[in-house]
Amino acid sequence: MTKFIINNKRIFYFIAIIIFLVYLSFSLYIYPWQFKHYFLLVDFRNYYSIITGITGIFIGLFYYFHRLYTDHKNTRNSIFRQRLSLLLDELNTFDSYVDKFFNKDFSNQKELDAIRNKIARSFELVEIILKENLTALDLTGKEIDSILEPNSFIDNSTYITEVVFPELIFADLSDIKDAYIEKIKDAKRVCIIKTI
Amino acid sequence: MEKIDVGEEFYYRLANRNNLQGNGKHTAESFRKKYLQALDNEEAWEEELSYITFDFKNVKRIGPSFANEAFAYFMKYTDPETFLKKVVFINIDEVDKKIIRKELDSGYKR
Repeated sequence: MTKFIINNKRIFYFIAIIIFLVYLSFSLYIYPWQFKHYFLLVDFRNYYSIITGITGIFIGLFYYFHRLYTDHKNTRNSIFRQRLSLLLDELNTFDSYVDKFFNKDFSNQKELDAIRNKIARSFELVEIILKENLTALDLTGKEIDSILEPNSFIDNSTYITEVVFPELIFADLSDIKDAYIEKIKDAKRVCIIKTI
Repeated sequence: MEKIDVGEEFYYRLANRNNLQGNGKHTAESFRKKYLQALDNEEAWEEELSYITFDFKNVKRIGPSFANEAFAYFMKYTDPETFLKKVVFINIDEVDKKIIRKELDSGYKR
């Protein structure tokens, strides 16, 4: 019932107002289908306490359900922001490992393999967050593409995934790095815009 | 039409393009040669009838480079829409589908 009211707030308010008007009209001995009587509050003083009491109950109910709706909305927004924040954190982690690669923060093949492995594994977490929250995050197809793009670029780059240590250490990666920076910026921008 | 349970019959992690990536096992090259070899010519794409169905229910992950090597390779013969009519993916996660579609749209990167 509560969930129904939260999801159909306007319908609930409309029904509540109709019920209140019907009650008001009967309490004044006038018929609800005689529309003109709504504006003729004859002998209002005779029903003052009853009408005040019922009006109070209605106002209380309005307040309660409005509060319920607002709390529900705030909780939903808070969860939404937490998930986006988590997504942004994981993109940052992925970015930090890619940065290590571009800065050639490795001194042998084993360390290079470890960085490559961390790059691949860290983006898997991004994919898990997307998979589990695709509806909740309310992302468009284009926004999902922007988030997936950095990994597509990295994973398809021969230098980043295949070339062995001795060759890589002398390679010029500046162009690849610049292209990557633009892609990761776009991915993070999606999360930032959604969070604000 | 052949139906393949990819996770059971091939491998559940589709991550390596070739034997230079990762542990070098279960590569996209071997996947393509195993299941899609018959499509590696112009004539195979003349009709749009579906050729194979890949069931992804047991697949845990597909990487962009795998999707690129296994599927976007055929973009030299056809376009993404025709490819997806001929090669059908079922029980596939929305994000995995996006990864494949993205690679098909951007084309083969080798």
